[in-house]
Amino acid sequence: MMNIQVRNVTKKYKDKVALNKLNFTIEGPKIVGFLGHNGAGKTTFLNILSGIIPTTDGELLVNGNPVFNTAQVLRDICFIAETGNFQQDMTVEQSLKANRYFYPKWDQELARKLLKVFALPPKSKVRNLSKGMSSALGIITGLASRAPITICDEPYIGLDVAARSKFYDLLIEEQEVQPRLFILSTHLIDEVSNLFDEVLILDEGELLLQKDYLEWDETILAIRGSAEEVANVAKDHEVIYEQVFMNEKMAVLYLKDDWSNNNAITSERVSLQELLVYLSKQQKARYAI
Amino acid sequence: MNLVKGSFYVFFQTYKKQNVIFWSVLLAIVLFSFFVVLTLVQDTFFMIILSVPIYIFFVTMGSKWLTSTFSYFMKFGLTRLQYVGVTGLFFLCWSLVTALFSTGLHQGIFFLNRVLELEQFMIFHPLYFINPTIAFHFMFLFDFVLLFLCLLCGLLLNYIFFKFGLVGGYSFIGLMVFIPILAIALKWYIPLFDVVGEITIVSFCGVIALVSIVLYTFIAFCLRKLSAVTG
Repeated sequence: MMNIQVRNVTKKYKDKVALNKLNFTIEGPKIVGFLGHNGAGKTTFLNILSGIIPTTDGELLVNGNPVFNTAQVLRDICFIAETGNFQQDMTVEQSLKANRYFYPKWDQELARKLLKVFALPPKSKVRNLSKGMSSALGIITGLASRAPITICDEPYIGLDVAARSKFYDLLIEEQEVQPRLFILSTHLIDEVSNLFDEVLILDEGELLLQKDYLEWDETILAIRGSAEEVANVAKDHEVIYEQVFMNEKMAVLYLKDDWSNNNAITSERVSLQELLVYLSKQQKARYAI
Repeated sequence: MNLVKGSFYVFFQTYKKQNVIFWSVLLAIVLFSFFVVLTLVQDTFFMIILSVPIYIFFVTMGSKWLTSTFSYFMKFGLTRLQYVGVTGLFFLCWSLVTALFSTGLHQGIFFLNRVLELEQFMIFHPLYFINPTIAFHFMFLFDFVLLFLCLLCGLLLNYIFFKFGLVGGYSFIGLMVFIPILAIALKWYIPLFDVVGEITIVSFCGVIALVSIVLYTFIAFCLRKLSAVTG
């Protein structure tokens, strides 16, 4: 059982606030989708969670211990970033050999098997790998590390559909064999959303929502109708996004209360991907102002 | 133990290529010089300095250290303290092996000189300024501590660039260049040379070792909260 407690975590880069007083708890084993538009603060948070950068304020605890510079916590975390996971002058084989020394639960047999699955040339240097191959090496590391907290930040950039599909299968398989807390940050949401047990969405450095994925449809809803009716219904909930087209207003709501059907408006399901698109549009509109 | 083994493995693999290139070039120059002295020239005196390029090479390697390895090791879950520890240990081993090899090379060339009775070829070491008949083990000791210091100086420079960016880094270099100029202008070098000339080699090595320890402690202090992502 892994427990991540985030208490008032703030991260500032000079004048920019990347994370603003984040507060939440994640408990595993489970697969968590960590989502948000570009610049929402996902990578910053994942960097803090893996001890790569310190917080400006607040604390991040794993099983009650602070993450930053705590060896007993960090050895239970495997972080696969978007890029820069491996030394360029080392070969694939050498990179996997190095992993063996640092991850206490490293499964060499699994790593060998996955090397064949993704058809990676063991003698090839990391600098000569294509983007997809490099991502595959990251995935192999993440899965074979068997770390109780495995974090993947955009793990499959450059991977083709077949390889991505293979990754999803492996993820489910691995979660059955050795359940752990997987945190996935990705923009390919439609493909992967069915894997999630829980979803966290960041928006402008703040937590927009944290929900079990099964409760998603009862939490996020889009409504359409006249401006007055939509405003009337929306007042009891949090409006995530809204737009007016001709005489019709559309609003995406984060339901704070029980939903009751209203004949004057139409309601429809919003997928995770659609919500991220709305958030992105909203962000662009903010900057346009 | 796994941590030390793994770190050494990664450090070795990361710097293998640079080491192979450097030593190949240096040894090729030595061999070429020998060849020239033996076959082509008769009355010209040849002198080679091996140590100074090695010192420069070590400063260069130290100055890439954080950039090449820090974020990589942080992703592996090392704490800053562990990173500083394995770095110091690797620096010591690297300096030790290189000092041994470099001193051995000096002795080997002396030996060949004697066997081949070459009088117009000489290999020079900076310690000859202090004592031209320096013993093998003193040369080794001096190279060992100085190479360690060179790596640490490079690491400090890398830290300044890593933490304060190009402006901070080049300002620091400017300051470091300005100090010797000031030293020459104000003739600080006279008491310095007097002290160096008077103390024994062991004391001199002791001073370098002490400076290295202070520098290492300072760097360890600076790294304890360093972000592995710049920006």
